[in-house]
Amino acid sequence: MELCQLTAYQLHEMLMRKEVTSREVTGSVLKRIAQVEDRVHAYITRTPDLAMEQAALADSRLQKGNAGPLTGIPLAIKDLICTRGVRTTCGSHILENFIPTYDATVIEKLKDAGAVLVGKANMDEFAMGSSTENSFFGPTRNPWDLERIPGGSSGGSAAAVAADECIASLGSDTGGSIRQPASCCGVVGIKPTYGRVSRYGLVAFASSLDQIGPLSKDVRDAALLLQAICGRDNRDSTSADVPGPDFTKALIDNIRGMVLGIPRECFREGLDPEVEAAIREAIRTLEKLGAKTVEVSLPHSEYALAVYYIIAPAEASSNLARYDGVKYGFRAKGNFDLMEMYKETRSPGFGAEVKRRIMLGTYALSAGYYEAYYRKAAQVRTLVRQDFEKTFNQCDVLLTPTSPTPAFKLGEKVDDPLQMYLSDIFTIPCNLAGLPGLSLPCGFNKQGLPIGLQILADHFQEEKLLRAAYAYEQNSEYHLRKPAL
Amino acid sequence: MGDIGIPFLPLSAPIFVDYEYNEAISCMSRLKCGFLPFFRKCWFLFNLFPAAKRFSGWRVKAQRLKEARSGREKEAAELEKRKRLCYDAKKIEDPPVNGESGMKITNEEVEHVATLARLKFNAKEEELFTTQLNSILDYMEQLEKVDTTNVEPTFHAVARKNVFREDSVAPSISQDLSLSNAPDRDRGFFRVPKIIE
Amino acid sequence: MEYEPVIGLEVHAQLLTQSKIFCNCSTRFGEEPNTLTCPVCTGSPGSLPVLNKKVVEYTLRAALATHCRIAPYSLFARKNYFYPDLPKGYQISQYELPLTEHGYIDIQIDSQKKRIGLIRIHMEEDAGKLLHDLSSERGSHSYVDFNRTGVPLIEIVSAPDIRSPEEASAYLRKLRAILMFLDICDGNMEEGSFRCDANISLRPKGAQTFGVKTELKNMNSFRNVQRALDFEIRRQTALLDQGEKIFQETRLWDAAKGVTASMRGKEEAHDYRYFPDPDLVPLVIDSQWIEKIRASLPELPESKKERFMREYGIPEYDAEVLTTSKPLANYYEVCLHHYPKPKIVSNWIMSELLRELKKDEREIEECPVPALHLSELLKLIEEGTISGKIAKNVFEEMYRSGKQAEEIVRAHGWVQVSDAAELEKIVEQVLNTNAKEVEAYHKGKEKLFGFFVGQVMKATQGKANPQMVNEILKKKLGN
Repeated sequence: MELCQLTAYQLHEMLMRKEVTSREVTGSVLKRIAQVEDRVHAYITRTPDLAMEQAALADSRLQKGNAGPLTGIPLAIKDLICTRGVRTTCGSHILENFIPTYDATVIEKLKDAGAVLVGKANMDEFAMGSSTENSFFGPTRNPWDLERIPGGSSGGSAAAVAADECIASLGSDTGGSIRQPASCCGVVGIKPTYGRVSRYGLVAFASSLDQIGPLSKDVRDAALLLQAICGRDNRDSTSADVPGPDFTKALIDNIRGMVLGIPRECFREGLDPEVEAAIREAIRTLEKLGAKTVEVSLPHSEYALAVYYIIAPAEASSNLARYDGVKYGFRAKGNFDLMEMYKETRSPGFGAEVKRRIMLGTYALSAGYYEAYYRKAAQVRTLVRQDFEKTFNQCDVLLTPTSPTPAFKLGEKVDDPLQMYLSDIFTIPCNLAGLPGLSLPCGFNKQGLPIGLQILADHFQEEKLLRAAYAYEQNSEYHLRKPAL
Repeated sequence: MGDIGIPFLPLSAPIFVDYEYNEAISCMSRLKCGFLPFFRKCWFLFNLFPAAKRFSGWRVKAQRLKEARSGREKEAAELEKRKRLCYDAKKIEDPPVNGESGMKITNEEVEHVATLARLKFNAKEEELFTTQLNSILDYMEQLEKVDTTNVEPTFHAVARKNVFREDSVAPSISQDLSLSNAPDRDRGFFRVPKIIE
Repeated sequence: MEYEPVIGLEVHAQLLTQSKIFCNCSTRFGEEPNTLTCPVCTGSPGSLPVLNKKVVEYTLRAALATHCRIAPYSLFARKNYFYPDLPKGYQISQYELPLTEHGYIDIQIDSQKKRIGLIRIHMEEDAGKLLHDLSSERGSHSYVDFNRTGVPLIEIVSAPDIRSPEEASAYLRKLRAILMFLDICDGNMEEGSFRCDANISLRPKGAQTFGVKTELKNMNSFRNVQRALDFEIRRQTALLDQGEKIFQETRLWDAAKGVTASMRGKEEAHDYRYFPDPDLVPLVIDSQWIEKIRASLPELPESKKERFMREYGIPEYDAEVLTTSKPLANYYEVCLHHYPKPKIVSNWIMSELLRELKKDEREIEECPVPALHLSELLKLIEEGTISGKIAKNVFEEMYRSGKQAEEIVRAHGWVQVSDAAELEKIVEQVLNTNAKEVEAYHKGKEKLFGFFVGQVMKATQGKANPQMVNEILKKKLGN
């Protein structure tokens, strides 16, 4: 086993026992990147020199005995998260050469923990997409099948983990952007409760839905990474004043008595039969481990997609207004007046999907339509949230498929935005309600493509997620399989 | 092969596909140079003689240039293919329309919304966007079925309130850092096209 | 046809907090461009706002002072539009649920009290500064300075209750005084910390419906507000008289030319697409907090005026003048503390002091004569050490030199001559020297009494005690 193929936890043990150094671990990861990156294209910006510097610092900390679980562990960061002095593009032409003047709060925390940053991961432009095909820098490919998408928008983060191009990574999730690529790439991904992790330094897409979360090779690593990045931040008004418990305490292989809710709306037309089979098998496994299942209903979940595709673009149209060529980013060259400059900058600066969503959002907020669209969607959002509140009175967690299908082929859905949006049908509702969600591998289809199981819990109940996920993982082997790259 | 005549073709074929020769010919024919037929004859005769071999370096260079050019072209084609796959899908194909087929948003409205958002589209793009937006908005119609009387809208995902900070001053970032990403700056300011008020 | 103007005023006042509304940058004025910025106030990708508690406090103070209702639940909203001085492409403001609404301000107009309603007071952030020509070169660029973005503002919207430019001016002065009394704004119209826009329409006198209104901008002083409104009333009257329609538009006041000019053609329809800002959480104000602020409110102009009239027995006019500004009212009361003669102090301040300050265009805070020194001067007059007339000279000297009264009197030897014997001698001398006039006086030319007084004053270099001179002269002349 190469060092780059191990988990953060395993490497931490080895580092503490001084069996390896962080420089060796980082070197192994960098070597792996050099081997496979031209096929996978998980990164927009690679920072090997910075990584080795940080590895050296980590090694001295390890020497002094001043190390934590992430000290010296090479991570990839989705290019939507600001890193001081390191190019942060958000997958877009309009920020192609933008260099933030500050670190996001999560980056500060990771630096304090001694982690090593190997690069900025590829993504759908401004986190808008479910396949990473909307990146200005070209798509990332699924390590399990290079002709297929890795999911999106954190496709680069997921693919890098699956391909061992990093030990773990950070992504962001607004409508499923961590969980769906985790499912496509056969890795673990968590979207924390809204407010659990600071959004300061996360370039905003839809402010009331965005959260940063970990992607990793197993549940324990995800818990470690989540632990490191969560916590109240004074610079984020929406950051929750809830102390982060020790998430690793939830990693016990015991779910006896846990009640699992199975929403009947998830097993519907359009669900790939192999996905359905894998999910049902996973449910059976959990039942054998002592959990009870109960059928629940989320009657308003059928409207969740429509609600999301009004609210998210509306907030995005406002959040992306700052990209006007005045203070940073791309500006069109030429002798323009102000109005022309704006249009000539933003039109080529943004890709088609981003422009489509800006248009949709602007329309939904405009005079005469605000009530019918934005406000109405916000009301239905309340109903979606109330559905969940009712079900969590009956059960501890909910189980659903993460994605209705395994990874589809590159180019397959790119001309049909609505079809693309339907990939998020299971992941969107929990963003609307602000709930935490986790995806982990629960099988492979006949073509060898990973299938993801999604677990949802009530606000600030990540421990339940981790407990259920860990128990399942300990009793399955899917997370141990690696793509044949 | 023009005035020289076909029988000489096999001997001269490699010469006539030379990049630079073709360029020269096309240039001269563009300029309607009367010199052209004479040039062709000279070229042919010139290349027959072994002395021409002294200038073979010239031909190699030409060959290399041609390869480089095709290499660049190949790269560009690859990039185009990649881009077409993902970033700027410009294929015009009507996506399936869900729901009724009444136009929810007209081309004029699309134009108006584009101006509000400071975007501009050419006619094709506008057409495409209008169609796509309509199909998406048709899908949204289902929300009208939901009874939301007396339902409070959710504008915030958390139940927080009254988050404040104290009125204390912290050092600002330097002028240089503030301007560090500016596309155009001058004497400490961000510079923009002149605004007439 | 007689028209009546219907005017509503929108005031933006910069709040005197140390730091900006959503970040910790300083609100200092006049610094080098782009030196008071950070990722938050320049809208850097990934930055987020956090509300300055003092801004809420100051807004609540303004609300209580203007009898506004305070909303128990209030939200920030985004006002979306594109302009280079707006870094995020939206301004964080309040829309559907402002912090306060439905208050009023009472003004005095032609000695009548009139109540002007306030529709709302809400919080928002200021935009940056745009310069169009650097160092007087005429170029093809404009220049943006973000130091001012994020400075906290309150927007105060009046009801359309104002019916004349004079009322508008009175309202603005009163509002400004209130905000300055509350120590939440420095009221500097030239520097832009107190800005005013007006909405004005005309309607036939007695009608109930509103006419078409125009919005007036760019009036940077009270005088300009009045002039602009005057002009606009004339312009609209002329149009209506000719049967023309008023176009709803924004017009800029041009102080140099004395006209309002249309911005039509340069402006497109603004659709601000307001929606609640998801980055800021709701404000829930409980009654405890409100009471705490109410208890800490300083005394406001209205109540101070009434108290002055009541406690000091000075007339309304005096009280009104003395309470136009807090520092002036303070000055009066400090002076009174040392010399408790309300009407005398009030007279001196209103005549001598304010006159000198006005000549210099100085505010009371910059007055070179501290209240204590003025009280000492007044004591000297009362003691009879100097005459009232000399006192005026002393005061002028005090103002110019900053020296104290006693020192000046001694230096000039202006101590009043009040020795009866000495005065009698001088009066005798004067009467003897001017025997002809004495005869004329006895013959009936009573006016010459003043002449004799004048001569005595001349002989004593003005130092003679006027009452005594009068008495002695009367004695000597009156047979």
